[in-house]
Amino acid sequence: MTKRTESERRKEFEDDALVHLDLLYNTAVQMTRNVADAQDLVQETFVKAYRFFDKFKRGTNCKAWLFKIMKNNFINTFRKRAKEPAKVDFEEVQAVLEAKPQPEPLPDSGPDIEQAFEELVEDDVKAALDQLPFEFRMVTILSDVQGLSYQEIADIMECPIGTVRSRLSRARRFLQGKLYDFARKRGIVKTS
Amino acid sequence: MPELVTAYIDGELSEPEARAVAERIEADPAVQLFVAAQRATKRLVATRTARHTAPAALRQSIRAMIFGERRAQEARPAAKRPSLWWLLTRSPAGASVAGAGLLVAVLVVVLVLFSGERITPYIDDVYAHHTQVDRFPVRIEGSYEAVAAETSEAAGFTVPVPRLGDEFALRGARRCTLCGHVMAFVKYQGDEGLVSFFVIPGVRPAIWRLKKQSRDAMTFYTADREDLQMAFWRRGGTTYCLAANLSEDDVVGLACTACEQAAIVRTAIRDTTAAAPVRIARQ
Repeated sequence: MTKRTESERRKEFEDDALVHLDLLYNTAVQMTRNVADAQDLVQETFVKAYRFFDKFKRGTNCKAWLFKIMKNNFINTFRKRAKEPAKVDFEEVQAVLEAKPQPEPLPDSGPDIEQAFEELVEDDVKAALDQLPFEFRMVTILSDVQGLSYQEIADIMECPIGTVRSRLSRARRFLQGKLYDFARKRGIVKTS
Repeated sequence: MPELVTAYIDGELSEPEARAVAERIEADPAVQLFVAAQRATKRLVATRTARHTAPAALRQSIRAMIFGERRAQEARPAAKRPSLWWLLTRSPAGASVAGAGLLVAVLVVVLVLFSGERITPYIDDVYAHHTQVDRFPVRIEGSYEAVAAETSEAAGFTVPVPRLGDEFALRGARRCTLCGHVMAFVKYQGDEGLVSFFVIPGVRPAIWRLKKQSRDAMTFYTADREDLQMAFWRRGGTTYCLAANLSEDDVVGLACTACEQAAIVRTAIRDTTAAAPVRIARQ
């Protein structure tokens, strides 16, 4: 096997990795919740990726590989120092949601829910997402915002596909409850 | 069932599985409601989550970091830039900085040893400070000359003042949380002291490992940009730095060279390549 020259390595990195900069940056903002940290995170991710680019198996999913580096970097560095708002464990969140009797009935048909949700704004979605624990927020962002497949998400999160499916389902139910609550408080959903 | 419905909505089921779930949905109004709510939630998250595009400066910064590229507007003939080695060994400013550094070492030791103030981990403090700077821009008064004058008074002899343009943001003696090494004192709105500082191109608060080089009795730590020159040297357990060829996008930071890690505190340094021998400023 011939060794690649530095210029070939650079060209490959540009073509395979740097093309995903916007995608990574967008996700980094969601992860860190602020632009400055997102820039650090993405920059460090690409610096690391370039350093270890020789270990990347050509022909495999470079996007997932980059996301995995970023996720690990975030967990190992950023998350420790980030001034994140205090969060409760998802199990606790869910337990509270499930244990609490629903005082307000959901609208009696699907289209009503969709219509109600259409009235919500970005801040509502952000507020609901921010309440999700990291692993659940990540799968939601990777799936619903970035449009990645379960397999890609499983590769990035280093967990089985079944776990992705389970986390995503639970996260969506949690978000649904929160968003419905926002809609109700705003008077978008009329309760009987 | 909820997980299957989620996967069904996402198109992640096999054909037989999808068919079975579809039949179940058709037969059960409660499941239909659940599907509608899940779809609405998915769509809402997809459409009402802000999209961020990487700023051009970030793209350039990344390319500079990994490929060693410089931005076109920064490019200057290398021969015209003052060499750091020259600055340190030949220029009055370099000698002055070295002299000031020695004095600062004394001051730092004195302040650290005799200050009643608890020394907090400086890197933590740096991050807190940076956050504060981001949210509440602080105009720090004073200049290098003023600091040097105060330092002279405190130390009991005159500190030669290097021609380092403007004031810069420095404060507090801190201990590196990574290795425990006490770094420096800084000048910050009337508090006395100086700090060793360094510059890394286009980086926001982060921890960086610098490349270590040695030349004669001096140890250099360099960032990944060939035109950017920095020197660190240690005396009396304190580290000093002189940097050359800074640009507007460079970032000033506190560095702990004992463990070769650094944390950045402030952004914004004015161009240093045009002014001889070196000019360091802050916003």
